[in-house]
Amino acid sequence: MKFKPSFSNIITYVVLISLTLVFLAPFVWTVFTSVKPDSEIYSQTIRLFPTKLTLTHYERVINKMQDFPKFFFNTVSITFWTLLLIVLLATTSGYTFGVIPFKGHKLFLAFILLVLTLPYALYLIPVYLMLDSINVINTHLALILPYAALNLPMSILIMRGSFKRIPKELEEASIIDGCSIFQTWWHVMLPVVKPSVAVVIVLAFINVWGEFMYGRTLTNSPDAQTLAIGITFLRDEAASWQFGPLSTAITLSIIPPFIIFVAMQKYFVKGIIEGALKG
Amino acid sequence: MDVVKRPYNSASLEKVSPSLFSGIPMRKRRELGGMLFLLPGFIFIFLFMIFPVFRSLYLSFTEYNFAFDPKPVFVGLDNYRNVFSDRYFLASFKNTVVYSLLFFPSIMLLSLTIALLLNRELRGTGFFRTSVFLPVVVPISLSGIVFQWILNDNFGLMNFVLRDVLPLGFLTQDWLADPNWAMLSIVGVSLWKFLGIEVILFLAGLQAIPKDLYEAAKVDGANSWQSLIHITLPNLKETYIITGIWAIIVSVKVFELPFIMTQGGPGTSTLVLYQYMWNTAFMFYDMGYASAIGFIMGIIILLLAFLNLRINKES
Repeated sequence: MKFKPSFSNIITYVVLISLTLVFLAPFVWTVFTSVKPDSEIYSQTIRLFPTKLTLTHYERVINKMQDFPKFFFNTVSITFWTLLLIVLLATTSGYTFGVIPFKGHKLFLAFILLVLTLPYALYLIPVYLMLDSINVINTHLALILPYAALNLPMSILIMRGSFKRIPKELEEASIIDGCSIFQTWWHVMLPVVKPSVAVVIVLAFINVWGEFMYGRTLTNSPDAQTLAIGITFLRDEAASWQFGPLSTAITLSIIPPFIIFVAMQKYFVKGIIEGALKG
Repeated sequence: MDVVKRPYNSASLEKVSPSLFSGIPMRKRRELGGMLFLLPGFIFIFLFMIFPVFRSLYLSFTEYNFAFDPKPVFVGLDNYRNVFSDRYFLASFKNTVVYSLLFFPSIMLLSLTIALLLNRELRGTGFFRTSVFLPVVVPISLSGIVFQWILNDNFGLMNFVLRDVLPLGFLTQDWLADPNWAMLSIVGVSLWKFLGIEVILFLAGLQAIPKDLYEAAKVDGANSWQSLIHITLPNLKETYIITGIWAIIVSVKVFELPFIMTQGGPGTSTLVLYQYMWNTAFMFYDMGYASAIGFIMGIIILLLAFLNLRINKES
C-alpha cells in the first residue's frame, strides 16, 4: 500500500474509479428505485438519488404479491437441498477419486472433463424427456436433481484435488488404528478438507441461486419457480413496466448471494481459480 | 493424469479390523469401499450428463416432435443436412459468430488491463476489486432485466447519463430496439457480468510470476514498461489458455441475456444458436433437430478450445 502522486498512479485511479462507477451503477440504480415513490420513478427528469424515501414497494412485494414469497421459498428450499446433495456426493466421490486407485479412473476423468466442456443445453433435452416421463416436471425435485448433477463434475474435481493433498500417512495411520473406510473418511479426512467444502458450497450456491435455463425449462408455474425465473414472468405480466416493485423484488433476491459473497469472498475467488484450472 | 500409487505395508494392514469383510484382503476391501463411495456421485453424473449426451446424439439422427410423434423415427443425417438451408439457423450462427468476435477480444483485453491495474496494489484496490467481482454473483436473468430497463429509451439510466451528465446527447438511442445496437448492447452487458471472473484468473496468473524476475530486470535497468512487455505478458501464457478457453465457451454459450433482453429481436438480429436450439426444442418441441443443433455447438466449442490450446502452446 503506497501512494505517490505520480502520473501513472493518477491515471490508474482515474481508470479504476470510472470503471467502478460503471460496475456499481446498476446496483445503485436498482436499490434507489426500490425506495423511490412512483412519482419520482416516472418523472420527466430522471434523478439517480431519491429525494423522498418510501417503503411502499417493499410492503407491496412482501405482503400483496403472492408469488414473490413463493419464489423466495422455492429458491431457498431448492438451493438448500441441492447444496446438501452436492456436498454429500462430491465429498464421497472426490475421496475415492483422489485417494483410492480404481480401474476406470482415467476414463471417468475424461468423461468429467468432456461433460464440463459441452454446452449444458445438450443435456437439457434428454433430462426434460426423462423427468417428464416420471412426472416430476414443475416440482422442486425437477430442479434439485439436475442442479446437483450439473454442479458435481466441478465439485468432485475440487474435492479430489483437496483429498489428494492430504499426506497419505494420515490415512494409513487411521487404517492401522482399525478405522473402516467410512470412519477414515468421516473422522480423519473430512475435517482436513473443510476449506474446500466451503469453496464447493459458495460456487454451487451462486450457480443454483441464479440458474436460469434449466429452471425456465423444467418448471412452468410459480409453485416451483425460483426467483431468477419467476421475476422474469413478473416483468412480462406487468402490462406497463412497474419499476418500483420490480426493483424491490430484484433487490431482495440479490441480498442472499451478496451476503454469501461478502462473507466468503476468499473461498469464492479460490473456487473460480480452481474451477477454471480444472475446466 | 496419473493414478496415485500408494505403497501400503500390506502385512500390517491385513491383520487389523476383523469385520464383515474379514475374508477379503485389505487392498481389495479398500477398493470395494472406494467404489461404494464413488457410486452415488457417478450415478448422478451418468443419469444427468453422460447418458443424455448419448441420448441426444441418437435423437439428433431422428425426427422426433415431442408434441405429435409417439417415438423418434430414424432419419440418418437429415437434421445435420437441413441446417445448411435453414435461414434461422444460418442467422443464429452468424449472430453467435458476431457476438464471439466482439466479446472474446474485448473481455480478454479489458480483463488483462484491469488485472494489471489492480495488481499495482495501490490504496483502495480491495474496494475496486470487489466492485468488479460483484456482478458475477447476481443472477444473470435479473441482470438482464435491470439492463433492459437501463437501456430503455425513455426511463433508462443510459440515455439519461449520455444526455444530462455527459455532453453526449447525440448518442442516445433506443438501444435494444435498433438492430445495429442491440447486439452491441448485449455484448456490453455480458462484459459487465463476466469481467470479474476473467480478472480473478488474470490476477492469479500475475501473482504467480516470480518476483525475482522483476528484480533482476530492475538491476538490468529495465523500466516498468519494458518489464511489462518482456516479463509480465510472456509469463501469462498459461493464463491466456485458461481465460481464452473460458471466454470461448462463454461466447458460444451466450443465451440468457438475449433471451431476457431481446428474445432474439429485433427481427433475428440477436437470435443466437443457443436460443434457436432452445426455441426449437421447447417452443416447437422438435427434439431431433434441436439435438443436432446442440451437437453442432458442442463440436464448435471442442474445436475452438483445442485450437486455443494449440496456438498458445506453439507461441
